[in-house]
Amino acid sequence: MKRAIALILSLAVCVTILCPAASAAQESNAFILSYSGGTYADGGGVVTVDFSLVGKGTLKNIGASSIYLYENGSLVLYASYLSSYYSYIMGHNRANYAESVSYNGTAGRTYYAIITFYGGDGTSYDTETYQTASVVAT
Amino acid sequence: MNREELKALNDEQLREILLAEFESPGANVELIQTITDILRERHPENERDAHEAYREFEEGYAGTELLFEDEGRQRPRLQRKHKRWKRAVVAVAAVLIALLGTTVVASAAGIDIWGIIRDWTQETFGFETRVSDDAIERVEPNPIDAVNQLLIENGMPTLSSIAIPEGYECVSTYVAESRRGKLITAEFSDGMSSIVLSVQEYSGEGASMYFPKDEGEPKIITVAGVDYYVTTNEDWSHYVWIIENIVVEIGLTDDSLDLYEFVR
Repeated sequence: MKRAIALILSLAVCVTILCPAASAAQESNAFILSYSGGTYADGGGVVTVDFSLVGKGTLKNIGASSIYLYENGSLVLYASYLSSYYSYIMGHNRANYAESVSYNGTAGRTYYAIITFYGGDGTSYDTETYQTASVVAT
Repeated sequence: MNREELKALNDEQLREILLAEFESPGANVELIQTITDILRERHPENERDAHEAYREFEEGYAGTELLFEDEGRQRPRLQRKHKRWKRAVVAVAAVLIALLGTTVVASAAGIDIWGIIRDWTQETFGFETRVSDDAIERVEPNPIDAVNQLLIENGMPTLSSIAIPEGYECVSTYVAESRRGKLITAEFSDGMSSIVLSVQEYSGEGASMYFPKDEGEPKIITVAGVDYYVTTNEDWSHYVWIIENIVVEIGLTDDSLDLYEFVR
């Protein structure tokens, strides 16, 4: 029984790890022309994640569907931004979009973010997943 | 055409003749002088008094001090030199006054004499058309003007070497701002196909920019020292290039248009 649980958990971990990798390996995109992101240390422990993207023309939805912040390699749950809860990270009826989110972190700790860029016309969509470079909070 | 016939013409007709003479390689100096005299008579308010001009010239440039000590005695030879020098000054002053007068009269008639002379000089030395042709190209309306206007308003350099192909018009523009700088995107359409042009400014902080593409290495085309990266992204062609801290990209759906349709 324990072996079966261990196997299921291992598979779940593998799927979790490999899914973003598979997504990153996707080359072309049906809706996104370019995307860009970065993580910045703003002093006082504040870390800002910034992103922008350009769509293939005016899109009904264009922006980030999620932004996950990692602190010293661990996901910071209360620094996870989903567009369904943080609507400002998703733009509408535009051909480009840029936004940023800030987190009060701890000076000396290392942070990076995983951003999922999103472009869609209301009936179909496409995404790109990107991990920013690490930054040490100051 | 004699003086009386010229006098019968209005200012605009005289201006046209004057302009034609200035542009002509074998300008008729006598005719130019006659026309400027007629214009001067008609517009005395633009007239400068020659004596006053000469006096200003003498006071301002020639000075009033003697060039040598008189010592109470006349030196015939030196005096002759002085007279000769003075005659030369008068001649130079006369030329300056004539040029000044002609400029004033011609300016009143709406003619930029110095500009024309500059053009003559360019033709003479073989710089004739390149600069003016570029200037003409720049003033030709193009849908890219809407983007350039936005770039100016946002303090970014304009895309002077880029044009949008004929038949397309700008249907929308968007300005977004990120930590790295401003992002300006414009969409063009000819009714069937789309072009998206985007300009991303980078402030110098480290950040990466990615361009989804189909399999294969980007093709690099160098035009006028600029490397253009050419890829495809599903049914879109994509051109990307960097100028200093600006990344420019063009995406388009019409695969019959190549890079040279955009670079001028």
